Amino acid sequence: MSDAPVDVLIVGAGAAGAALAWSLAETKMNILCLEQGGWMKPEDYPGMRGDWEERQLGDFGFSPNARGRREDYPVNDSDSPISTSMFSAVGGSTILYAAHFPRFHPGDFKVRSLDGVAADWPLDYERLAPYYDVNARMTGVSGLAGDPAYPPKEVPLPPVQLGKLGETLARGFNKLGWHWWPSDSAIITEDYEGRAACINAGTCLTGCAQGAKASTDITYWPPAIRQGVTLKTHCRVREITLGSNGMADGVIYYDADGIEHRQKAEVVVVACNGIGTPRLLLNSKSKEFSDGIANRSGLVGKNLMFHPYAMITGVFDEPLEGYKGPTGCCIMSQEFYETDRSRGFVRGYSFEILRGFGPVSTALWGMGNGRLPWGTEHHAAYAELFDRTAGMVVIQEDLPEESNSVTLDADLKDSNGIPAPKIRYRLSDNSKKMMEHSVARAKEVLEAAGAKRTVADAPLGLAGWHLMGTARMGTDPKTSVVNEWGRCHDVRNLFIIDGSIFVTAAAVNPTNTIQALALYIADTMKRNLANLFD
Amino acid sequence: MSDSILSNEQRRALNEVLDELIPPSLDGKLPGAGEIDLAAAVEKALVRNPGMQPVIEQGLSAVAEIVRAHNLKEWVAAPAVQRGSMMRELEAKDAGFIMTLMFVAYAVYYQHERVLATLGLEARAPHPRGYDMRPHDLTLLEPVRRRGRIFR
Repeated sequence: MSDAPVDVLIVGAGAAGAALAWSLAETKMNILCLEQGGWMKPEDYPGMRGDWEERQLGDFGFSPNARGRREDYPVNDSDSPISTSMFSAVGGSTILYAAHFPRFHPGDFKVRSLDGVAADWPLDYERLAPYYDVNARMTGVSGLAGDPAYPPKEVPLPPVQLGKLGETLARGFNKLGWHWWPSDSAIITEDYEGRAACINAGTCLTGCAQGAKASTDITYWPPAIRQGVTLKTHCRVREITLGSNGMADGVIYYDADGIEHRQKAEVVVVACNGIGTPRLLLNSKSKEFSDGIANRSGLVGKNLMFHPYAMITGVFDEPLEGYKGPTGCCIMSQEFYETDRSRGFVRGYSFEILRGFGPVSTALWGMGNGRLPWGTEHHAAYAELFDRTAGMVVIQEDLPEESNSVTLDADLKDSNGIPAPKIRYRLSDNSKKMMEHSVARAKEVLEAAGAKRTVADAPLGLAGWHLMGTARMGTDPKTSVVNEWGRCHDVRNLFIIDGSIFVTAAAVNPTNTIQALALYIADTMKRNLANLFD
Repeated sequence: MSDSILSNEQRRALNEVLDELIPPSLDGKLPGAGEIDLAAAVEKALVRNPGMQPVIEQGLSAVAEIVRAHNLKEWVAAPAVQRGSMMRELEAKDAGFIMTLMFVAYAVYYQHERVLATLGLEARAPHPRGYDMRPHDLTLLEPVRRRGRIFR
């Protein structure tokens, strides 16, 4: 079935696709977005029911393999110590993310110049800063100006409550003289743009029924659609097609009934995340591109970066009210962010303080680390844990390595029969040394805050939330897939705008930078409409 | 979909093992599994998670074998000390069963309104009421501000 041609076709309605669609909407071009998932209904989120913690282990779990929703596609991540986490819906993985919203540091864009590793980005912090500001306003970012770990920046709303837990940890950081600051969070702390403020329900990772957490289904999409962008859901794109002129001429996709459609477009924009994007490019083979479209460099799918995570939990004597407040957002420390070669590794990491566990999660965490016996001792052991834990994660910078990759699995397919991605990933020696250092420092600060014991899970297995680097940007077509504004070197009307184009990963959550980049690319497209393909 | 997947005999064995896993607290405030009919809730959870059913069924067979090996009519016929050693025997024989059952049982037990009330929590969904939090003290940041810029 052939659909009416459009000017701009966006594949994927997540963080990046939504931001770009909103920005381009003012051009009044005919813009269509195809999304393999559907619209989420906030009233169906687990937090509306008493069994919400249990559902976090089931139909609202992180892993698409475990959830098995029709909208998800499987990922073979058996050759990786870190398994992938993503969500297919309008809003993409912002539906389940923690909404940590830090910016990259200026130095993150020039790691080759500063530290002699990886590569510099073809753009810098100053170039992106105005787009970070736009994103902060569209998203409703909460935080506190004046963080000495950053240049001055716009933060529209006051920070999320630290709570007793956050203040307890803050005192630990102060005791050691280490940096900490209230987290920049994509969670509104006051009523904002028609959305109601956070109520500290602590269910962020299973979707926010309040609408306080900024998933793009409630931030960018409503105004984009009001301005004329068309969003079609339950449409899964199989491949990007190539015209006789060597330009992309559209896509082939399956609708909800499995019917194949051909959608022609003047411009194709891919926004499917650091795994879905290389998967789509590699599945788009032709005579001109036998190894996948836009892949003359051979770098599509290479240089996969996660952020290696560790989770360290402290057990305290006092109740911490840790089940209250945004799950992942509280305070962040960047004491060990910048390179100090005396530590035995380059680059660095952030600490992010989490909240405590709910009643079910406390039991399962205690069981998992052998601290919660069954039988007569069970209740006393549980009482020592419940509301007395404070967790923190380490988020490490991951440097690009070509051997860490996304390829196509020879056998695994999604529900439409499209080959699924296969991950190959190893932690580098640098990452392992950094992890050892970070876990030791995390225990140190938890003990300084009063923890009587600590438990570390490193590397954290189900932590492949951040998917980056698999179609990276650069000025040289031999060493990059897209140019400095997201246009493929090999196909001049094909753009990539998600985490795939990251050159390096920094040591912070990537969503804010993904969206700032998408807004920057959209702005560059608008400025160059007359000669977009030159 | 039926909430029942176990035979009466299996259900009785499940009840008995759950009582060993989660007995009442020593002060009597927190209920044991039997008091709140945890077995029925666990059975419903197994209906929702069919992948766990073979593990549980195999484990319940092991329970029956241990009861027979001890020349008992039923698990509860043994005195408390003997039941403890039978549980350890069961754990050695089928650790996967105990782990799976603990996983399901804890998930269900710690959602029960009587348990939540004893822990000092309201038995309700987090939304739409959420939770009140005390205002924070940002003067804690003074030492951090005094250090000045730390980025490159």
